[in-house]
Amino acid sequence: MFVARSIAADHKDLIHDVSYDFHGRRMATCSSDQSVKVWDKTENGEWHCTASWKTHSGSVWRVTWAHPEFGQVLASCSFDRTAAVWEEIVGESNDKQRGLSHWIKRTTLVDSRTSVTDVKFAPKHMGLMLTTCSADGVVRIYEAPDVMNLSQWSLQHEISCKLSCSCISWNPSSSRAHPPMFAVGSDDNNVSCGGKVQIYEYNENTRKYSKAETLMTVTDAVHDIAFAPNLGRSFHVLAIATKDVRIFKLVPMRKESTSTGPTMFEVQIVAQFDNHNSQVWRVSWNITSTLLASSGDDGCVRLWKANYMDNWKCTGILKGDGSPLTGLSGQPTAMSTMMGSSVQTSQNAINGMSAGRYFFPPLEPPTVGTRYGHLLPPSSLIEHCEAEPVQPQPLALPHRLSSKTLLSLPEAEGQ
Amino acid sequence: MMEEVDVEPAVTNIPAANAGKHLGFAWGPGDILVYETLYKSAGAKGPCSSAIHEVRKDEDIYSPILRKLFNESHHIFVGLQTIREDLPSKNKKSQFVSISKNYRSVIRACMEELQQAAVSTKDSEVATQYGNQVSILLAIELIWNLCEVLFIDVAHAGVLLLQLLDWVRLHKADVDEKASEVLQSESPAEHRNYWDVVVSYVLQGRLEEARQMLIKQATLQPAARNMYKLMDSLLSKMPFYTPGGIQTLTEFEVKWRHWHDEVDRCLQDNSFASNQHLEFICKILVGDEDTLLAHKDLLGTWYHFLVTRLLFCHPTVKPTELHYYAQSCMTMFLDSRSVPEPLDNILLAAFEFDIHQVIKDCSIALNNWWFVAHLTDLLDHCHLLQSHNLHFGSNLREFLLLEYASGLFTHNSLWQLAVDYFDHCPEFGRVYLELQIERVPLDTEHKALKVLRICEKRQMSEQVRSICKIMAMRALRNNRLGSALSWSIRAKDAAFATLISERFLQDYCARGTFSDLDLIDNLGPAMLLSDRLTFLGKYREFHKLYGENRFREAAKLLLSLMTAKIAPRSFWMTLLTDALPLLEQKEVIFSADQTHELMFCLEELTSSLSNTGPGTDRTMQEEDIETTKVELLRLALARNLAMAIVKEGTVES
Amino acid sequence: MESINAKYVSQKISKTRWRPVSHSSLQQPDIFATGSWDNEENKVSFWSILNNGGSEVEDGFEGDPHLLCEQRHDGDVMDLQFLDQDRIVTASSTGAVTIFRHHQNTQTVSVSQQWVRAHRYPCDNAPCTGVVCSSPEIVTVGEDGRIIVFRADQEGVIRVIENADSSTIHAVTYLRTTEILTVNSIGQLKLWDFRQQNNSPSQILSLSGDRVPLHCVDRHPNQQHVVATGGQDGMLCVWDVRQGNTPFSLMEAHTAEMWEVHFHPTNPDHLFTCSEDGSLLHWETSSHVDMPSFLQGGRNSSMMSHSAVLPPGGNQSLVSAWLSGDSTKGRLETTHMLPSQTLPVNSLDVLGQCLVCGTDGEAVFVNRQVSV
Repeated sequence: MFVARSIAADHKDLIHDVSYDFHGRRMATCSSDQSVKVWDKTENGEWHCTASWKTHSGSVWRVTWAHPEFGQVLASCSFDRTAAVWEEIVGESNDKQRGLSHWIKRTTLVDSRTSVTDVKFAPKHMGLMLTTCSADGVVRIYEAPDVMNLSQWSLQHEISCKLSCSCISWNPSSSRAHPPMFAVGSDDNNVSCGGKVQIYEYNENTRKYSKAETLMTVTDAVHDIAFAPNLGRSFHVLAIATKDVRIFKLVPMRKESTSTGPTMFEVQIVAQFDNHNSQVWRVSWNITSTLLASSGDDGCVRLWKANYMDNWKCTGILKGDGSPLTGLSGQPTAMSTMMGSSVQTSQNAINGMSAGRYFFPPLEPPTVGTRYGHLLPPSSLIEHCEAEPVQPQPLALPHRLSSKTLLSLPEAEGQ
Repeated sequence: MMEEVDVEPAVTNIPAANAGKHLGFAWGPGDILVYETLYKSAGAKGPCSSAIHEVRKDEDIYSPILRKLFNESHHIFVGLQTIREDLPSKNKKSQFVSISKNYRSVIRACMEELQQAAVSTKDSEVATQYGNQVSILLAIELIWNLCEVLFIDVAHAGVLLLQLLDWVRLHKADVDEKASEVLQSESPAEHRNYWDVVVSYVLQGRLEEARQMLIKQATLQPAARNMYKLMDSLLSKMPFYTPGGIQTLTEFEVKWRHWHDEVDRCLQDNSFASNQHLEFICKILVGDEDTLLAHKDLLGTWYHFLVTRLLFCHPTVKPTELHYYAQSCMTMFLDSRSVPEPLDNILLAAFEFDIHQVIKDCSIALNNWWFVAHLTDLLDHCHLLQSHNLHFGSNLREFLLLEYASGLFTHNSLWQLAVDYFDHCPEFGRVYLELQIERVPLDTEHKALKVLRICEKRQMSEQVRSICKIMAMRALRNNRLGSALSWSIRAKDAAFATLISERFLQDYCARGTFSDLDLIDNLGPAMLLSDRLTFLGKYREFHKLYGENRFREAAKLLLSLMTAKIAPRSFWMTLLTDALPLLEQKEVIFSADQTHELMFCLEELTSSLSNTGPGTDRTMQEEDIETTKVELLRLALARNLAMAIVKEGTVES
Repeated sequence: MESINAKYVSQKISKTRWRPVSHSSLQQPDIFATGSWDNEENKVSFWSILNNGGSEVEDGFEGDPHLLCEQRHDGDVMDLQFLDQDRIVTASSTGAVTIFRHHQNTQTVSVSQQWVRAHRYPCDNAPCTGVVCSSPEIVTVGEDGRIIVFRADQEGVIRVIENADSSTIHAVTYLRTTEILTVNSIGQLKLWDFRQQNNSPSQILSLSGDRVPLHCVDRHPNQQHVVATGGQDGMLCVWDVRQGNTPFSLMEAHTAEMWEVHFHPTNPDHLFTCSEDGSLLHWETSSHVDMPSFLQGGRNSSMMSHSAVLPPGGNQSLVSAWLSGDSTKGRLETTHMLPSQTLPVNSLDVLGQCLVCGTDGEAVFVNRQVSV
């Protein structure tokens, strides 16, 4: 792993969240300076800030993108007790060509009476739905019935969780076997309040969300929570950031056909790591859920991976080198590439199973011969259509190594 | 079963503060964004850098030279997957060996190019990077070659040694360089490396070349002529097993034993006592371990020592005996102080035929998914990996291929290669591909079409729908209604097609003309996707008929749009207004029945309008226009009805 | 020996073009240009297939293409056309149209002229999808449905046809000096006559009802009314623009998008097509209509032709073999020109006996002995 480039975000206060859009070509940042910035990747991979505006009257905790099927839409939530939906508008102005875009507020969701701590869009197969959770312990689900008119959002569900909420995560599974489901975490410090992670499931009959499960073993404050992509499995995988990193498996138990209650789950703990020493603040999966990243009080981001035996291990650490950049401003790509640690220790480790790079005793360097005959298709491959369709067959590469200094491969002699 | 080699996770330094601060992060498709933050502002709130760092995973895939390896081997991989299962195993084996050689040939080519680049670059950092990559590729090729000999080609006693010799010769080619240096000098026999070259040749069993070299020395020392002649004869007589020849292995063994005894006799009777070099060579020929070990510098590695020892002591070694010799040679060769390197362990595991250990150690030590994925896949095709029932149902081959292919997907451009790898992972390949392919940025329609083709070929209907929808949405945002409609037709997205049709109709109402006629006139069967789209198409057809003065057909179509409820109610007034000029033609166009139906439509419309109450947000002026329109229509309808009745009555009578 | 040579170039190739050779000579081309796409940094590159210093001649593998020079290109290279021997025009996914000059004495490339955001949406860039040149005139088309005319010697734009198409225009070619032909994503061919001032096509031809997108178009080098197109379904269509509004013949060619079709410039009985399905086909038809009946096409090419209608006053010997239509009289043979490979072939160009093509497998294939 290596730092490919650094971007001067130029926020005037702490950055609280950075979020990639679905395709990874745009990102949004939010900060205690009450603003959100949108960044676009140029053709040559550099990031340019194309919009920056004041969004709230308090710290902006989280910013998140809607699926591009719904256009260019952002949601943010703040200490100011509101969440907001923003849409990029296109007009006849030439601003985008000057590297600027316009975002307008489509709605402000003012139902919460306390700080809105997390905001997430529901999986796209459910339509355009937005979920918020707040310190007053309420999860709210809003829906935009007309995707072309984002100024109208209706509050569909209001679910009281009794405990101050810090984070929510939707189960991304679009399988019909799985009703819509989300998990909510609480950062209540009181251990005696019981389980801090609750799972809610949608019931077709009552058209309401009801609690399906509480993870009773998680009694400390929970700061973040993340369902893994389902991969077509019958069970669900959930990562939790609490005083350590935990990975749970939720296996739905067979439901009697007459039962109308929520699904019962068998909860299994898959892994638990306390390498962050103290509190863990964020957990998040990569696209295929082969890697989990977590951030904690040790100031590190740790990467976790299961090997093919399903043993979870830490495979990489991102760590501040103690040299915060101060002089960085203005130019977004002011810093040169390759600032990471040396190849020996960093390369590739993020990929998982392997973790270190050994160095080999110096082997002989290859002697350079002429390289030719890359792909001489055997004449049998060039044939008329009247003949059988061309069978893909391995190409015999004729003696590529015929220089005098390199001994030829055995095939050159024997066959 | 297998020991986990416990290694510390690699640390990557981020230019950020490390004490009292947190590192926030966000996953991207190919990288992670990392930034300094503070999750609970309980602690001291020092100034925070607002820099965001883009951290990339795999450096290798950004190397332009290694990209060639990925692209070329993709082709071989796909070819291997299509080898038919029902081929006779003998034919298959030769195919597998040839595929293995193709892979190695690609590695070699890549290695040469890297080496050249390392030499020619002026940037020392880049040179080091290339140098590292070369050393890794060298190790990979060395291991691969040994696996090919032992596992894929499955060489038997006799042939095994010959192949191991080839292996050592290929990877210890510095003797050739030295030899040419010696031969090009003024007096080769007096060159300081002369004897090194002769001995190296002997150690590699290249006796013909050793004899050629010795002749040069012999001509310089006429006095020792007989001694050189004896050595030459010993070297020339050393038997080598010829595979496929008439000689049986036992016959060869007898012959070899005979020769060995002869060499031994020469040693015993001190035939070479007066020439230290020849004496040495003679001792090598009888396989004297101490002498061999005295040439560690020329052997270089324990596995060279192993092969040389086998050559002169156990030329008919069986595959099953290899591990014993390998272990002892490694112990003898390495000092008691030095610990075996990972490469030594990997090779040893190969000699022990422990394939899983080889793969496992390689994936840890080499840090290169390309190698383990391709080698494992090949070995799996050779049926060498028992299917391990792994925890999450995948097997080792699939696990490694998924890792490799996922790595390719993190690259801006190499993702296309990964598709074929996912295709050949029966368990999770498809779902991985589904998750990854929809994240590919759709910069141009051209690229979107390529991504769509991949999805359509695999019947990934949800991804197809989603991509078309994203493209339709983008076209709509850019005010390209025609493109937006085309994309939603392709996505079979009725709701969106309706929405765009509305926009077309709105535009028509506003401007009085249709835009994008080339598209609307050519909807064909696609028109049936949504009611509104059908209406749009049919309504345009009405205009065409009208323009061609085919009034009767036009009138019929217009009426049917209302009576068959194809037209939205909001559009009826427009349609009725369109009927006005037809009603006012001199000729009767609407029949009496049709006129009745038109009147009925008008009444239905006006009654529903009055039901909604007096103009909600309409101005008085608009209200007036509307009333006038309705009155005009009523008048025209009545007149037409009268004319139609008269006309129809006339014809009948 | 039929030798086709692969060179791996570490970039996905979107376009390949031979540098033109002077008409009088029988010279074979020796330099070609490539454009890349989908890379973080795209390039326009110039390659030579001549031996450098003759060091490789002894191996008998003359002409492994080697890089002469390259230049960064903003955005994907969507199309590439030589304006003359030294200048090449690119169409970019950023909507820009750029003229690069290849300095052959120093082997360097420089931008000689650029029209940024020539193709655009109201507030974003629109990819420029195709370009065609007839020096000094340059015509480009784009996803924005615009047709733009430039002159290499003028900074401004000569003419713009806004809303020339409600869908994306995929390719453009000259029919004659004042007429161009465009193909679009709903299966239409449109003829545009620049002598007319109105902004509507002089003729629209289309596949009946199928709306299959067309991706490429090429005009017969000698007979200006004969045009070949390739579409999303991999079908090759030959049209006679004077005859009716539907294609003259349809031939199944590929199993996925046909990205390019080219008549051989001097021997137009030969035609070449390449496709997303990873194949490159060589089509050969016989021009002697009075030939005895031959095999019809191949297994891969079923012919569905209209019966041959001779153009009024047409001399039989002038009838294009491609329009001789009646498949029992015509002879059509197709040959696969690449070893089996799965990755798309995006572009090809043929000149003299030389053919070059580029793939998403990051390989450039050169064949110097095309039998034409």
